[in-house]
Amino acid sequence: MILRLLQAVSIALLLGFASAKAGVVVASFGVISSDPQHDLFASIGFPTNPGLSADPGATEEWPVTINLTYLQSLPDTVVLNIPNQTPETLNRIRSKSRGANAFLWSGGSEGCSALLSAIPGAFRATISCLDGTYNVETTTTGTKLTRFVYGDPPAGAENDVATATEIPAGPDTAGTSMPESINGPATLDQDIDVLILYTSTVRQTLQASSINVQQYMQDTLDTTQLAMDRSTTPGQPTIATLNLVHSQEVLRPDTGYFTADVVYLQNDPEPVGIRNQWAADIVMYIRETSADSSVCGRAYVPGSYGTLPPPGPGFAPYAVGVTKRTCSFSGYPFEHEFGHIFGANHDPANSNNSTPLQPWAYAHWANNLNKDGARTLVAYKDSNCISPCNQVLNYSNASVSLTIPWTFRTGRVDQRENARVIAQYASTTAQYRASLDRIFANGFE
Amino acid sequence: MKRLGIHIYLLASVFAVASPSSFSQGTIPSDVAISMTATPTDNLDPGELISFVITATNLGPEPVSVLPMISSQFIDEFDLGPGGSSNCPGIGLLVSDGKYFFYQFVWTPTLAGPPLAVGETRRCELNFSLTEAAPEALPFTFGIVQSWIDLNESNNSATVILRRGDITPVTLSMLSPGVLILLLGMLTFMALIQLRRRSGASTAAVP
Repeated sequence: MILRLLQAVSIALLLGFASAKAGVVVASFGVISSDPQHDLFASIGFPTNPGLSADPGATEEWPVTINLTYLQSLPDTVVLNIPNQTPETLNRIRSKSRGANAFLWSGGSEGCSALLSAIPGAFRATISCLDGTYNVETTTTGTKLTRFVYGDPPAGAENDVATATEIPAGPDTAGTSMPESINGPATLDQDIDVLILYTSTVRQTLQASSINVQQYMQDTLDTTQLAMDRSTTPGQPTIATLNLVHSQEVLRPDTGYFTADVVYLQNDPEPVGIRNQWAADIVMYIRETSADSSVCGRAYVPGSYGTLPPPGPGFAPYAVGVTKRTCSFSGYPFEHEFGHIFGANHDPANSNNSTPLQPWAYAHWANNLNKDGARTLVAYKDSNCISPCNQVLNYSNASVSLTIPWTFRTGRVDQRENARVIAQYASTTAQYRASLDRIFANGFE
Repeated sequence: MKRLGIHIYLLASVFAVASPSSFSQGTIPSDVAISMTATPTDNLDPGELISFVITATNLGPEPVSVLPMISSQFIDEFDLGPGGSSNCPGIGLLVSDGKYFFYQFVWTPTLAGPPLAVGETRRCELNFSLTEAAPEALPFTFGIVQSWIDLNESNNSATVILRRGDITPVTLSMLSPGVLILLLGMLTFMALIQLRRRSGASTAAVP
């Protein structure tokens, strides 16, 4: 108890010194800005260690209360008052009312991106900052802010790149017919319609924490949309506009290898039928487990010059990806695999550099004067990137920088520009299936 | 160390494709035979184009509606860039992400065409080259995905070994002629000393 009091006083003093310059006041363990009615967190409690059942990477959590009354108004700005950080004012990028006590709000600042999502009784948030990754979940034990730090691959991991256990499994059933596209309206739509399929284990895991599954899936794609927004060159149209057309649990068990899952997505009547029914341009499949703990996702990569299908009708059957819901190496496995489907590649040191769709379609990482490093969504945690080499919610773009608490230019001109390749092929991807103009979020509440 | 790991898994992946499955999800109601040739396979230089021909033949008795095949894993051993080409409907490049990444070709000829009829053969032609990162000998395998079962598993995969010609076998310097002569000299010297000691000991032991 004494130790906790000392800790509280120390943190409060530290925060006091840190925030004096920024014109904020410190209350308990949280930071209350000088304009508290605009804060995201109305109150922040004592920090605790996440339990063993927490998601991979969870290192610290705080009970919080959310300023729902303010957020409900879909404000232009929200002050992100995260513990141990100077408050940052987020500017709204997108917002949408989903009825009483339900809304979506996304925004960004010089150092952070945030997606705030509420349905009656459940608030969720995904917060990506240059110096930290956070989320907020409302579970049976209340609403909590959690900080995540993703570890390095364990020593000796070189030898489990892939082993004989990396054996692909087959689809659930044979005898399927070749996928066919739906005959829909002939208009050239620009929205990329996404179908998210998930296993019963995913549903059960989320429900065990009282998380609304449909909200979770919608938030997953909305977080990817936020990444697209934040990766767009200022003043330019958003690199890609995404639309969750449908989300559904499938019969396939949460077992086997990911390669089998992509074969399943392409050939099995269940996912192919759902894709055709909803005219989805891209299909993503979320699992809770992995037969090989060293693998978090798989996706097809278009192009490779003349060798493989480029983005276009020939690639449409390959616009599928599989991802673990949570991954111990990355906070954004879904966004990582999603980027691959557009031709985005890893950082050059961690990519087969002869395969890019474009010679500059690479991810990026950089260090801050030998203090710390950061990486973009499709980049690997390179050994030269100073730990924790935090992953930010950005696809690489030399024209986009995060500047708090240090300047991370998220790309290099003509060298590391995944946002550019996503923008280049977004329209093509949107034509993989003729849109039926369905918007999933309208009905999930 | 990383490259050693790569080569271990490449070798392992050969068995991964070829060995019987531990669990079954897909059933192919026929005997499908896979073959693969590569030209050339020996004395390869990085950048030298290699022509791969993979075939899948339905030996019967039923048509095959879904036939997924997969290659062994690779990272940067192949140059799929300019100069590469293919005539291979139904092929895709899959990237796997985790602690490390790797690539695999997945070829599903039935995805881009009708079921494989009894007696029918589908061909996949790929042309690409090795890179400087390729080891001296690189096994490359194509086969039916492991957990799919057909009527005869003995012909479900095919492997070619690609051998570079620009990497000379590693010579241990200790085995060079000079070192061998030196070793011989040292052994002779030690033997002479031993003989002399024994001779001295024997003399001393004589009463």
